[in-house]
Amino acid sequence: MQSFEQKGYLWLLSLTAAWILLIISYPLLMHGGFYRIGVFVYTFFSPICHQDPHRSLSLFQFVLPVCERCSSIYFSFFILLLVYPLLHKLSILKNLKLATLVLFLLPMICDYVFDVLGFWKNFPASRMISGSIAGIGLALFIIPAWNQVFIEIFHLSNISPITKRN
Amino acid sequence: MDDYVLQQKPSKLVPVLIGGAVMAATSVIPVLNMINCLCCAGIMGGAVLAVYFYKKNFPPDLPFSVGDGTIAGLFSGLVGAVLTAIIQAMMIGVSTHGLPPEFDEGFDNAIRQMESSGQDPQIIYQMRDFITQVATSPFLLFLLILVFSLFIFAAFGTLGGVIGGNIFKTRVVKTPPPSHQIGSSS
Repeated sequence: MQSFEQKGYLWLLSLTAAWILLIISYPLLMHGGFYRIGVFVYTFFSPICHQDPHRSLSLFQFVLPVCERCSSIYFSFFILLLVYPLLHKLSILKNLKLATLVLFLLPMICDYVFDVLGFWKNFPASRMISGSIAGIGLALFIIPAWNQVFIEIFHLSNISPITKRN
Repeated sequence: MDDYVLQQKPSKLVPVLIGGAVMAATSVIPVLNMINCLCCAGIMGGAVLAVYFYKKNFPPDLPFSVGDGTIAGLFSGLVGAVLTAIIQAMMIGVSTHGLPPEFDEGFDNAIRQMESSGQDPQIIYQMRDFITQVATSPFLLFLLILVFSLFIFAAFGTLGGVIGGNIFKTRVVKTPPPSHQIGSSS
């Protein structure tokens, strides 16, 4: 059972690392002169982020293709994923409840909604901190569930769901 | 003699179509598509909705697992991607402007960054020319939107499916195994 969980973890780690690399690749590609690929990488992220250059982190004079909030979500998700093997014995990581996930998402939602309503003016640190908290919450909720999927797929795939007829 | 039957899982078709339609709607309707700026909430929400409807169709005696939710989320993501690409292609067909707004903005931002970072104007001109070529070729544009959408919707649809599966999964209460007494008669 343990090896299926490890397999699931490694798959998620690889996919998340690829996603992070894709984000970082844009400034590196543009800096290296690979403009055509770079522009496509930037455009790839356009349906999922507003990509406001004033609200994005930059590297080598080129902004990342996702904003500060999105970057914080993805990077904190990835960092938590990296340290997960060291932390997974903690009881909070066993099975995060939905209500706890909402608590993790709440700062980000408040930061966004209150800014839109005019009660609060968000700033780079508030966007990054609230995004990081959301990313950590999502990682804590998703990693055990994702590992469970791998246990189900590889361990239980040969067991037919048979129930007894009364 | 005890009679055993193989329990069939219900069809995913309708839940997946509903989830895909919600994803497409939250991606192409202006203003509503701003929801995807919050960690792709529209796409993940569509996947969670697909999982909810899939779970509703499950017989009560058949356990619903995170894996069931993940597969429903993944398929709804694929349906959402195809629907989004078709709708955007139709919108491109009726508009005089080539690219969908978010792609257009993405290209513009990238070009503006090249200009502000002091790139060679000749290279910038070549890039603009290249983008114009893509934007004026309907098939290439449709293919570009479809490929990008398939990646994004499949990834976030799967994550939404994992979240939905974790929310709606059947909770298994662990009970100690019954003790068997060999040789005893009742």
